[in-house]
Amino acid sequence: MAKMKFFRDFDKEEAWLNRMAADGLLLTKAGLRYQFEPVTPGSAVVRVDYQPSMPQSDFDDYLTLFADSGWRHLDGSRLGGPQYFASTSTNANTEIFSDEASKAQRYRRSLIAHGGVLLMFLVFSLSAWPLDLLSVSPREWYLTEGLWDMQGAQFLGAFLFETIFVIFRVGVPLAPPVISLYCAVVIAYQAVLYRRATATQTV
Amino acid sequence: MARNPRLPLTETVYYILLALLQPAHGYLIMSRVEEMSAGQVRLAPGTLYGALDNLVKQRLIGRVPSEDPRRKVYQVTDDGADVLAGDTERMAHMIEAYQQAQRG
Repeated sequence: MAKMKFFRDFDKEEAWLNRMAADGLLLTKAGLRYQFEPVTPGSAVVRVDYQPSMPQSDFDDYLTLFADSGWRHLDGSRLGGPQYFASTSTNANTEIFSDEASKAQRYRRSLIAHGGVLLMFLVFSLSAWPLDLLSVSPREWYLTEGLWDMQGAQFLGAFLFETIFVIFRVGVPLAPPVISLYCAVVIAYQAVLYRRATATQTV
Repeated sequence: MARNPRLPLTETVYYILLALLQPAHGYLIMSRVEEMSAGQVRLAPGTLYGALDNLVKQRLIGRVPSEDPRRKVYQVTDDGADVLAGDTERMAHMIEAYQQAQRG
């Protein structure tokens, strides 16, 4: 059982995963394509943390602390990203954060991680700005002679055939600016979520 | 006397430092804090992990050798012990001030 979803809001993601768990589907693999296994409906609570990349020994210690307190790791890479946990049957607690301030720090860690990626791809983008591609009309990305004068099936065949090559020729140089833009959007969005999460705290 | 700028500590940090006067790994810290606070402070793992990370960065606690490679062991540093004592004094003074006010 798999579903395609895209989340950058940990609270919304958690809520969705818990609705799935309440219906008897527990997360096994996260990402764009979420995979589930059948379980007794409502038998587990799912929680999401965010951690940056860390050495294997740190990751072992991190997972052991959660395991000791009754949380089974469902998915998540030691190379950084969201970490998914399910409460085990012996666990009476339903939260992995005992205060709102530390819960809000998930967004801060994610912001910093995306900031690092943004910086790296901005450097790539600026050092190899695909000016030659961006300054011409997309028609000129196609190199087949007389392509745009062809008709009907001949045009369609030649167009689709070359599109495969255009995706690589144009896609690769355009990737750094596109990834930079993506990171910038995620940072802006999560900054709003972080502010909202910290604003609800009292002194 | 100039007051340590790290004061006052939060309740969570105070109890973590108190638990780490003796070396302990994460889960042992949780149980000690729960016991010492008479069940009032129950740390969740995500919160404790973040707090330990911050306290190490602030050099109030440090890693000590662990027999178990899957569980890091921490203990307060000299700085950490000083801050803990300073905050205890601060609170003792508050209690004294309260009692004096009560007596009028």
